[in-house]
Amino acid sequence: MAAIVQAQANQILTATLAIGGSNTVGATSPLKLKLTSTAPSSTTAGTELSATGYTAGGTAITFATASGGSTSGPTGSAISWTNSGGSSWGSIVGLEVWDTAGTPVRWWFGTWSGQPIVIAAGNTFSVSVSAVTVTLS
Amino acid sequence: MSEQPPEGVTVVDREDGTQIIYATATLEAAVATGNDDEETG
Repeated sequence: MAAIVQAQANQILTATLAIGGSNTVGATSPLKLKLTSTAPSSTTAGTELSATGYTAGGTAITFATASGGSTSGPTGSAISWTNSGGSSWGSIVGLEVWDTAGTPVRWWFGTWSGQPIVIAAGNTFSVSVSAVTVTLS
Repeated sequence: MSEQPPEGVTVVDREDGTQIIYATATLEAAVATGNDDEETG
């Protein structure tokens, strides 16, 4: 199952195989976690959620030290958004991890377990510590 | 609400009647998708 953006997979190949003598690759921190209302793919970003109480552009996320080909985030504390509008947010389908380069780069993507997730007015969508697992296998 | 949340989603009721929806996700990318078995003759 793909979970890494195709262009960034190419960067990893380029770096780890020293293609063209290049060995540099990496995201510019801080990373941002974005919610999407459509399913992202390796070549196409999802449609970012547009809703009252959601932070457009996403919220900073950090990941734990990788071990066994896997890591998880967020670290430290949960990330939460509360629907402060008067109506439901509709469907939350996907997530994307972007960096904060001058032109932000999308690195990872996926869909939430049990999606689509609907957040009624007043309710909170929360991502607990280590609720997002990222694995290279 | 008695409806069961889908797998991977946890719903917690708050005293004010609102809810917190805890979501999870697994992003898994395959590095090697070819033949991992070495066959030697």
